Amino acid sequence: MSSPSSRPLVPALRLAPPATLVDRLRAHDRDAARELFDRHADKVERAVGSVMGFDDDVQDVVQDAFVAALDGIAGFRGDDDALGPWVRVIGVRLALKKLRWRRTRQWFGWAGSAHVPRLIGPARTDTQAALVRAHAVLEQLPLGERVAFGLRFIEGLRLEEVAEATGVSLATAKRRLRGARARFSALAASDALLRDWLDEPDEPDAPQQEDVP
Amino acid sequence: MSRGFEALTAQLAAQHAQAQGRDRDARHAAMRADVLARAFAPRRRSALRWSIPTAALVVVAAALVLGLVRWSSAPLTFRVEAGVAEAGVQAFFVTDDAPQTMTFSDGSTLELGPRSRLRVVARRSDGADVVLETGSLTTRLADGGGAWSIDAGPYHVVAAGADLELRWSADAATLELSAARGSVSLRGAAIDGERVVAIGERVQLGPEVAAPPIEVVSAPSPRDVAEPPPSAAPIEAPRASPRRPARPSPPEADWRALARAGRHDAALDAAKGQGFAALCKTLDADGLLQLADVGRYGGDVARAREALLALRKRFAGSDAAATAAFDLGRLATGEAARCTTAVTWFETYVRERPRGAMVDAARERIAECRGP
Repeated sequence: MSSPSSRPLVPALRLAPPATLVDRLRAHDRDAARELFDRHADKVERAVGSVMGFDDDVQDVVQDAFVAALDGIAGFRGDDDALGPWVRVIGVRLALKKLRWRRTRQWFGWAGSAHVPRLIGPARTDTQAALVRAHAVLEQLPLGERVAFGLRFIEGLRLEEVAEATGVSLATAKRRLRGARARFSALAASDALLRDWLDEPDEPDAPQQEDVP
Repeated sequence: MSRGFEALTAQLAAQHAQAQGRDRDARHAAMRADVLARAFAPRRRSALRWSIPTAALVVVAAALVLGLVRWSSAPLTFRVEAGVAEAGVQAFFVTDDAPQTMTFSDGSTLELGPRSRLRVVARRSDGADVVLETGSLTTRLADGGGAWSIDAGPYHVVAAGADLELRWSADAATLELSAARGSVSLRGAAIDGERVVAIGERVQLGPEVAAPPIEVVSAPSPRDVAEPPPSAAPIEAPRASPRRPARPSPPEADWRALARAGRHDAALDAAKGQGFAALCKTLDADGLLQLADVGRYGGDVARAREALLALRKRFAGSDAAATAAFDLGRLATGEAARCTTAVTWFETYVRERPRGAMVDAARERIAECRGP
């Protein structure tokens, strides 16, 4: 006679938890790739645009970033929430690489099809003219400072995010931002139009930038 | 100086946000299609991967050689009249009621007419590539220079040493082109191959479905014109023949390539040429979404709907089918008196993908349709 089983009764079928986006991407799911793009394209495009300016290559870099992310998803260690910042980091690094390559080509004097930054809107107003000049000044900054400047002051990333996106320590990111701001201000001071902007006096109670003394 | 600095960077940020908002849906659709096509293409890595040292050597050697070759051939620079912009810095021009002239370092000039928009996308040592987004452009290109490229909507003009006048209306999708000097040729969605524009000739191209694709208004030099010369035999005038000339069906890749390039009108035309209904029966789900985007951005809502409904039918239950439901809702939202239909489709999406990426957007649109 067999003794009654002492095992507790358990449901025979356990429902598997829903697959995360990361899981689906690792499974090479095309719809997941589409979802990844739809969720994070704006964020990545903003970051890359803030680094490269109005540049026809921004779209290519954003696309390259997503393709690289999809290629490298097997090595990604994070959850769904970390995907967006991760692709953004890839995008910023690809943008930096593109800018470095351009400067190398310029150094060699090889600029057969010169990059021309693209600007939006007419230059008939003082504001637009100032923005044109501001972009020209940004082009003169060292690349590390230019990237940090774009991410912090145009895209509005936090200092930690700037450091992560550029692959440097927090201290280095702060130093670059201080340098970028000082250099930008110095270059802008030699431009009459920008000087008018920057000479606007501080309001007595205006809060100061938290990270750039 | 801090307040002024913050105000300036805020303006820069606003300018970026404005730029990113322009044509966002169409741009992202094209970018997404490109990403998916590349990410899911068959891999050829092992065949393409070079060893790092070899690749580095090749790159350095190539850069040295090219640097030496191109050292003295710097790209053209340009300046804009009245000090509107610094030389070589601004590349996007918008005029108000006054024309604006750009003078290039080789002596070529581009005069942008009133209320026009022009983009300089590349400069070479002997020419440049520009895009006339809308308005009029008059060129006086230097003799002995290279080919200049002018894109206007779905049309592509190549000119060398040319005086030409080009008008492009983005709203009406009409183009007028005339040449007074030099070499000018034209390509485009409704043109088979390359169309040489003769001196003194004026070419008009209208909306593809409402007018003949090419109307030669005047052609004093028939030998340079693609159409046959006047003769004793009566020749049917283009205006009298509203039928489009027979064209070979473009290959399947064409409409996708055109769509990726943002030329949705031309992509739609190519897809129709291949057989839109046949594509709806044979494409995979992602291809059908792309085809629907082509219809939508090409201004043919019926075609877009046809592709999406085919997707819903052939791939029922898939994520792509749910996305199609969302897109069908979006299409219906754009049509007056179809809000009920739009709501039905958005609700379908929410029901089929309650945790989908666009569920919040679907709910917002349902609320918008229903109103307060």
